[in-house]
Amino acid sequence: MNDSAQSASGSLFVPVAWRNLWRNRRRTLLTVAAIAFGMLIVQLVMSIQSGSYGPMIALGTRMGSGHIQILHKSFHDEPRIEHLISNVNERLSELDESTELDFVSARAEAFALVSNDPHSTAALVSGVIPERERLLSDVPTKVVEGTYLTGDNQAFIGAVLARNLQLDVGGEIVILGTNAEGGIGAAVAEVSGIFEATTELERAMIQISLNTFQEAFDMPDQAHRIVALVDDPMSMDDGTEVLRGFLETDEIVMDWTELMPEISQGIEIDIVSNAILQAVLILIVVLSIMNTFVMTLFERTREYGVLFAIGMKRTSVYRMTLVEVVLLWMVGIVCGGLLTCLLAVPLMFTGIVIPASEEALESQFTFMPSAIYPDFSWWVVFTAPVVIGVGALISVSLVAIRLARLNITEALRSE
Amino acid sequence: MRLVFQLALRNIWRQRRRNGLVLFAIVVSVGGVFVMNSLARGMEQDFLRFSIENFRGHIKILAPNQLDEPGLRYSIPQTTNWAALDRPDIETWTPRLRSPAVIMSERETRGVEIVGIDPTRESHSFIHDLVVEGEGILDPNDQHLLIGRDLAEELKTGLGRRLVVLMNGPDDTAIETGFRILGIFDSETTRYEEAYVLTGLSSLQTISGVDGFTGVSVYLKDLAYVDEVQSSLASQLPDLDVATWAQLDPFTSEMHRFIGFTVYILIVVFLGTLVFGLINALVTAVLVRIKEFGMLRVVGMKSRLVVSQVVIECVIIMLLALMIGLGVGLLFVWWIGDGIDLTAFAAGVEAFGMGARMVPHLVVDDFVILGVASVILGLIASYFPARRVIKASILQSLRDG
Repeated sequence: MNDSAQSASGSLFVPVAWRNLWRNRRRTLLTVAAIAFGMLIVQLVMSIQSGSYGPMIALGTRMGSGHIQILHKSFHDEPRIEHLISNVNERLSELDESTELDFVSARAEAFALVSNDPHSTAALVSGVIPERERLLSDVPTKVVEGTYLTGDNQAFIGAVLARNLQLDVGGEIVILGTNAEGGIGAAVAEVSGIFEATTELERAMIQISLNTFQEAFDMPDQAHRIVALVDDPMSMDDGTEVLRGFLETDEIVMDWTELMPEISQGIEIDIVSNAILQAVLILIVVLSIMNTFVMTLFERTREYGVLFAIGMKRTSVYRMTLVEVVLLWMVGIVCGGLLTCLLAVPLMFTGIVIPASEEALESQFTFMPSAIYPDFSWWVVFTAPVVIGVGALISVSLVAIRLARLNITEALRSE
Repeated sequence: MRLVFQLALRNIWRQRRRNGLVLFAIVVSVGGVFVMNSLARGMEQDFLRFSIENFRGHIKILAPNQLDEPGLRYSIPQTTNWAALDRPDIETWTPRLRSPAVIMSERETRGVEIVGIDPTRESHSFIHDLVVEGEGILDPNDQHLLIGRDLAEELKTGLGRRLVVLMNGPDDTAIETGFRILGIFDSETTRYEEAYVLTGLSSLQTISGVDGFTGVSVYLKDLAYVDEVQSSLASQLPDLDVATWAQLDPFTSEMHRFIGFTVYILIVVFLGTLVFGLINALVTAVLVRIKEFGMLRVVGMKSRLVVSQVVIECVIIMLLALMIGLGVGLLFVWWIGDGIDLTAFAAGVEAFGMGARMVPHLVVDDFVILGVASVILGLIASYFPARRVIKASILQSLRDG
């Protein structure tokens, strides 16, 4: 066969294969349905699991650390009051201009003795900028009595702490600690509100305004952390880069994966275990689809016998089958894509509602979101079609090996 | 009917390759779904275990105010009558005396919690799984200290050395006691190693002058009855706080609910996968035989018999595949045994304990649902396509295929 004849027969493959598919509509539809449903199942599971990390990260970062922070290089390991960062106001207003960061704020922290005579206890006093803290953190929303901080010389305290100190909204709380120079830092604040959160926070956290904190501990325009939130906590490179540009001597940038390794590692472990589940799921689905391919191809043994008998080359038969499979695959993934769009994508907007527990209904707040929103990132979309395609090619090749060894007379005799 | 059964068996054998494929597909579906299901259940279980083994138990009985102010000030008297805990649904219970403490070596100082335990009763907390170098706490009267590996490193101390423990006594006086470290433990998570130092319950009672406990952890046989047991204990012990693990740890309970829900979604999807796998295999197997069925009808076989023959064939394959599938699944689960070590796959993840291993957990109900659903699906997936084929005209059937 010369070159032109070969290319002519090559160009024939596609229309012939296409006709072959529609010659036996039932068989084709069966395979298409298998691919489409398989794709739907895989994409649904992957998108739901991928969508469940967001709430976990949000939970950790919005109850505490934010996404990225600037802090003194020693503060994370040794949270001492003298490990300060300076020029806070100027840096905050410049960071406000950045498009990579959603919200920024600053915090100061110190362990101090808090008291309401005669009761006293140790607590973590946190100096925050109230109007910025509202955007950055969920703690302000956990108020159960009174209001969040509205100005200076106010305190927002945990419910257990309030009970232990026998304090109510409007009561006075005395804060006594050590400032950076080793002198005494002291403040008196009026309780503006009481919050409920995790037991540890409720027992030992008190927020006051950063101004009050700076005055009490004699650290003008200084703080311990500049805290930033970004759009997507899974890709913080741009935000981290921006914060790096604002570093001064002895300062470092840390993100939530470093600040809260137990959450990021927990998620990483969850990703691995989900990957194992997904691998098993994909294996089942792909093997099932391969099974359909293999079975329908073997049913055509006699047809192949006829093709061989009239002189078609075995490689050509293989190529034609290959084209058929590719066409089938394409039709299948288009249908699968449509199915996913119809059945799974709407869940992105409605969410899958989690029924509320009794404890959650009893308490004033919940930690977890009320619904899971599936997330369709590119790997969720593409994994299924690619893996199914590879599976299809493997199954065709398995059949092709059999066909290559086929004896024509035997093939013609088969049912 | 016997003839049909015989025919079915011979048909299965005649088409060994095709039926082998169907069998294989179903075995993979059933076995795979079984494995996935037990892994997902294991994830759910593991999360809960972590919350409960951490000195909490399923139900905790505490001295009033102990939650607001942990320490020795509020305690449950030694003389409390514990007859209420003598119930068949309670597996075991154990009293402890715990207090926040400051621990000092020659070089470093750390904040920890000192826990007096009765080691013979700690069969359900993490203490049971500790790997101890040196001497463990074997008796409530043991007076030495057992500390975590991480803490020992932080305090730059070791076996045989002395430590000073400082805690607030019941009347707010400071109690300072010297201990000798006779044991260092490694636990599944470094969190325990840093947070707790252990000694004998009776000896800690003597040192602190507390004639009682700070809390009692109750472990149930079946978690499902936790609310029932809690309310019953609460009414029988009116002077004490009785709380479930979920009330004590709303954070974990919420997480557990969240994870439980995702597991539930997963199980629904797995059943969907099973439906998909079975129907796909069986429907394909029936529809490729249209011509054969047409032939049978031409030679005079009644439609009803053709259908029942197909269904019998499918059910035989189905049952066989179900047995092999569940068997393979069980073998696999048995082979995984105490879990897949996930830290091997996730670079840079240190073993935090929670979820670091993926341990399969078999739930009998799921097992039964899987089996029953498979058989019903097998019937549906063979009966309907077969009936459809029979409804077509014989000529049409002979032309197709």
